[in-house]
Amino acid sequence: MGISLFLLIVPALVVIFFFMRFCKLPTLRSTSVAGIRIIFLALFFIIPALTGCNKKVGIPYSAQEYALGTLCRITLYDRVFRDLPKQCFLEVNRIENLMSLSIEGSDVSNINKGSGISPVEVSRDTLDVIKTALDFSRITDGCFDISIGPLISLWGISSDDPHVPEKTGILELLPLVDYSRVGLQNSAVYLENAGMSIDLGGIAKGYAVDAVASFLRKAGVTRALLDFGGNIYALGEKSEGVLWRLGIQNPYSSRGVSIGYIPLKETSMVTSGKYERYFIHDGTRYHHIIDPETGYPSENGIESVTIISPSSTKADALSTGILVAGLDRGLAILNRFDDVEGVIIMSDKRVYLTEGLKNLFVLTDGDFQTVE
Amino acid sequence: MRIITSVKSLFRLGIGDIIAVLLTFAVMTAFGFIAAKETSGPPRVIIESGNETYIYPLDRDAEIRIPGPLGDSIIQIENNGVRFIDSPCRDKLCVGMGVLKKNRDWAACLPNKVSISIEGIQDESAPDIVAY
Repeated sequence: MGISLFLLIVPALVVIFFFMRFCKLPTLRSTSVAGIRIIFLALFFIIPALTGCNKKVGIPYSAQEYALGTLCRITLYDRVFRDLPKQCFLEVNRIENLMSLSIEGSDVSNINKGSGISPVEVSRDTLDVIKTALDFSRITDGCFDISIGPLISLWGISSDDPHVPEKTGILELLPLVDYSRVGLQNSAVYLENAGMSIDLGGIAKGYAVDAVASFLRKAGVTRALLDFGGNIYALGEKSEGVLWRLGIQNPYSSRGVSIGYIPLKETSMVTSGKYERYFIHDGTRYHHIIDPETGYPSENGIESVTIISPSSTKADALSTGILVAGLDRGLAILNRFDDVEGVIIMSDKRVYLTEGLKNLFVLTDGDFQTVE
Repeated sequence: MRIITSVKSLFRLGIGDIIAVLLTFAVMTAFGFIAAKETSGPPRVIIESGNETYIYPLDRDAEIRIPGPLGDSIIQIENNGVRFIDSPCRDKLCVGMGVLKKNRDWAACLPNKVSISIEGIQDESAPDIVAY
């Protein structure tokens, strides 16, 4: 924390004060003044080193801000310039201003306004995200689909008033959800049919996490944790030779309670869970991840999907896609990647792991059971 | 001889020197402890609303009203746990987040821009961060 620096400066000033005051006493001889000076210098350097500066993990500096529809928290474990987090949030805000559905004039709202009319020139960032999103739509066979926009607004998922729409309304909009009709022309994006709309809610947070992680790395930060509404990134190691313990949320407990953890470094971890946002109507729970094929919240026995990958953008898109794809298809998709691992928690508390995690995952909650 | 005398005089400290050294030691050590305690320290609740940060001890029961853009969020500290008991938001997700008890646990009322978190409890077996 920044206060620590203040706490070191204050005693330093006290030292200087006493030094000035007592050195003027007539009992002192000039030679002894030199001696005192040496003692003070020694104290000045040694004591702060003993009390605060040599901890294994440096004093963490944490900053948070509301952005991308959630609370974004950056914790730095290096001694850094204080305005570094501020610069990170400027980057997050820049990305939000490009990719937000609701901000007037954002790339995404311009693309949606131009649906069925004309291609819309977009920024490099937005273009990259959309290209990646379309790649993952193909990889997940449409289970992850950014053209889900019309259904998201029909259900009122991102609004204050989510509700169950009429079935006819859903059936009418389903044909508008089709990633293959999101066209790219150089740096322009075109939605082929009027009424189509894209929603980058399932991937933009991941992109922002990657952008901030790379910004911090360039700024010389070696240890940091990013938490953008549950999309996390562990930069570097916790301390030399010690890995971060990245926990996986217990879908049935309050936030922050984990079923276990994986010791990792230099990676992102993103979870999509049905518990994260939902509403209850007539006794039925409706969660926020809509299956682009049915138009209804995905129901296939999966409670949550956690993806581990050096790319948070990839992890964000895949966690949503796999939750919709279901267990068998999901595991098959994950096995195609070398740099991606996953943890799938089922409604019956069975936990499925990809091959690379089987010797790493530490289960700490006995209610859950890993499946070999 | 002269050299020996001048070396001796180096160590001849007046009362002022001794007081200065002792005081410096005391002050530096005290501040050092405070600085070190800041991250471990007694468990406490950090409440943030806009640019304001409020800090409360976790072990003293209290009911706190924190102003936000929509009105007052009401936060309760009880039995070493903290939770939102009411907030002027529509869906009350913050209230639904339940009681926070562990280090780095947090909950937030996004519409009213009030967040609460716990700092200062050390739990060696707990993960550093949880993806949700």
